[in-house]
Amino acid sequence: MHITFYRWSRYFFSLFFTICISFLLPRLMPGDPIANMIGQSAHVSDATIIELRQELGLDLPLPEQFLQYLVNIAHFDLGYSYTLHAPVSSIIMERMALTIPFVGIAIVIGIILGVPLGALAGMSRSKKTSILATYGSIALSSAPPYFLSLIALSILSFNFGLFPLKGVSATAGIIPWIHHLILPIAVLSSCIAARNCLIMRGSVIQETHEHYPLYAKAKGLTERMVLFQHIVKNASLPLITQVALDVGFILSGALFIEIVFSLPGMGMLTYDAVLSRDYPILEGSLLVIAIMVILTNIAADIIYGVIDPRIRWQG
Amino acid sequence: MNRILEVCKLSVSFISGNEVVQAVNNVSFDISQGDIFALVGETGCGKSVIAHAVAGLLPDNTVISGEVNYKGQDLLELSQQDLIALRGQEIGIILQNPSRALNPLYTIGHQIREPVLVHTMKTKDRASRMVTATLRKMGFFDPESEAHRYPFESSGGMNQRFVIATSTILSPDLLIADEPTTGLDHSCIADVIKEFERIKKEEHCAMILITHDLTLARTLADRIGVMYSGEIVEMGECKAVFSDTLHPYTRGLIGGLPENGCTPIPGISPPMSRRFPGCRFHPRCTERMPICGQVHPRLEVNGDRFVRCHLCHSH
Amino acid sequence: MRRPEILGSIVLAAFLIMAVAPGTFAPQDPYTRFTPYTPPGSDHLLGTNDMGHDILSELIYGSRVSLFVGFASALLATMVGGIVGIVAGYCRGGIEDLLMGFTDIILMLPWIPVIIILAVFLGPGIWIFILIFGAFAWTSIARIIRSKVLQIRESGFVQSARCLGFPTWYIMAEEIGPNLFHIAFPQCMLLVASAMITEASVSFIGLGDPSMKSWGVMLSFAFTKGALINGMWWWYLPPGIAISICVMAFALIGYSREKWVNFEVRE
Repeated sequence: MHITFYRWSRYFFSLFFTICISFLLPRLMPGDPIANMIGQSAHVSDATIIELRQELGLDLPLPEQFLQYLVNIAHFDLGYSYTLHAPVSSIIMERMALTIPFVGIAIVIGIILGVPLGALAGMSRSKKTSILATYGSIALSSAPPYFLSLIALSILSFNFGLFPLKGVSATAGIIPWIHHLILPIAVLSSCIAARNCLIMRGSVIQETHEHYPLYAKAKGLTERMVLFQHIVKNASLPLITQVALDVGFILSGALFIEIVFSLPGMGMLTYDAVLSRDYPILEGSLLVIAIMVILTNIAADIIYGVIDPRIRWQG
Repeated sequence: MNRILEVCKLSVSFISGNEVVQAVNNVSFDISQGDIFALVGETGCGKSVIAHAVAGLLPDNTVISGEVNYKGQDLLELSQQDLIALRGQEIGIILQNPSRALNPLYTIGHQIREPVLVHTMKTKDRASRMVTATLRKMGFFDPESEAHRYPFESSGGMNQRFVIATSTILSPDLLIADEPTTGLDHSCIADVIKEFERIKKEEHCAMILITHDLTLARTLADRIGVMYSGEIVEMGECKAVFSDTLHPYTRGLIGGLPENGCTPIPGISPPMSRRFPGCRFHPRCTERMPICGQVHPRLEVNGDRFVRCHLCHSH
Repeated sequence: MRRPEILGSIVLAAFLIMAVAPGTFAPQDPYTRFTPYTPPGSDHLLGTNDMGHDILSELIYGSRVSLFVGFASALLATMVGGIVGIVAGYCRGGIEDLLMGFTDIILMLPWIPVIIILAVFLGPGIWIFILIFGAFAWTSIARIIRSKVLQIRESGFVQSARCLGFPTWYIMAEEIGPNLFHIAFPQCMLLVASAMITEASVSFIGLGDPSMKSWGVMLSFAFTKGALINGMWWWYLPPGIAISICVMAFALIGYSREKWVNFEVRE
């Protein structure tokens, strides 16, 4: 009971903290809050500004403004982008349609590739392939993801013309969509796989010091069965926690990859918002990304509980 | 009687870095069908290494010489594949610390039926029925609900009985029990002893019982071998060894029993990596003679009694 | 020392020497203008960019900025994490619950978007980056330090120091602190690696300090000014490779001290 309560309060405060940041930033930053709220390069008439000041309640005391802000968020109202002339929530929803499948597919591929590789590397440490996998993973996770994208783009698209150089439009059909996404997904999933491989390798090494793998071997299981039917399951527990915590990092990495490949997802949206100083969009993105990270952590907690009976029983 | 296992001149050494640790030195013994052979000695005398060597469970950095003849075939010469086919089916192994030998993430039932699924063509359903039957035979009232529990929900004693069930479900011809009662409290030890007595009566398998608990050995074993610092120093019929003790070390061990006043043997065992002339036990021996520090005593044979001591030299 | 650690240290030392005295290694002043878009050749080993700046010189001068940002952010984060971890581990009770709960909350915050927003509001600058990185990236260190403190506060020498009546702050600083160094050090190295990647990423979207050209800023300029489209590989490859090698050096040093990575494959 206590653990469950602790977990949920953790999520709650995490969300609350993010909301506080995005509420306070434009109001505390130097300059006119109204300018901070609508963005610098948006062209808005003076009359609208006065109207807005009233509507946003900027003359009210901060607690009242905060209450209003919370009510708005509860109604999925994240403000209005005066640069793109649309509500922030609908713009983000539209861009998420690309980013979520992109990141989701990459995470799944990254797990499918990284987990067995890391498990084998941890089990037979002195094999040449294991050493190669370990150092390869360290090398891969040392390069910024967007730099890997630049290299992939310049070699495969620019020199060999295998993949398109420019981004995909949202209205394009499924085939061009896949064609445009292969390379970005490959880059992101190899970054994720490299990290998973390292975590899994370390986790497997720790599990091999336990007694149950030896006993499983004593029952007549082959080395491979011991690894994949026993050790991998136990070793994946720390991985689940770590992948969930990494999601914020993975998402951020995905944003930069999107920029290099000019994919019209959250990354391009953030990039354009940075260039045009479109504050409402930036704050909305922060909030949405934070919510996604929290949701993945909740999902990870649930999966962890399904795998580990010791946690389930405490619940 | 039918000889199941013959161990001939078994030596095991571990190589770590530049150091060679001789853990088992020239050990020979044999076991017949239906017999329990106990190997006793202090912690670190190499008795568990023998268990692991017979089962082929030693890590890669070990050097093994000698012969381990199981029903006429040398287990040390066997291919991994043939060994895997024997382990868990014909050769059952029970490891110390039952709660760690069981995988915390699988149910008891799943882990007991694993050897059945690996070694026979039985379906999961029939294997599960076998598990229930085995548990019922062991005196569990509600085997089905036991099978659905997890290791962390049971005490160490219960878990050890589950491990025994796992190792004997396919009625092995040879059972190796490595410190089966270590860490268990008294009532649990009584349960485990009852279990072994039942196995001896019903299954007629040969059994190696490895323990530092002399009382347990006396209760269960037909024959007993006393080990000190990697060597067998005394071996014979269990009753004979206890009533007519020949080796000072064995006398010391018996003197250390609670009913004999818990008199400990002075000093500690020498490290396995240290070689020195003379008897391995002479630095601690109370009946030391000048020759004991110079000449390593041979293992003297007198009918069914074996002893390695200058005191008992046949004149 | 193990082989990967030696390799990492050598590479790192080379970068550090470059960063301390860029003037002695750079063939040109990084702001002198030559013919723009020159491919690598005998005059300019790595060619020039759109402004005609010598890329090799820019790279050498950039190492100073990139390494400084990496070290400063990681040190700040290590200090914050170390203090939180020591206090939580030593005081136990309510303070520990509070601090570790707070750590768990910060752990889940996506801090790269937060850095982006703050940089947009406050204008680009390395100090803002260092401050925000320090304010968010300390969580892993705090958790590790806390568990180590919990472990050693029960050990004999701390107990005896307490019995002798030494004040709490003294015990923390004198007895526990040195024991934590070998745990904090590899973590700090990994944080430098992570800070350098993050700095490069944030700079890439134009939020780097243009007056202090780090490797990330160089990459950003190369990308926005079409180095890729025009096939000028000498413009965007060197800074990216420099970041990757430098980060890898830090990672090798950090990982080789970690028990779980277990580099000792030859048993």
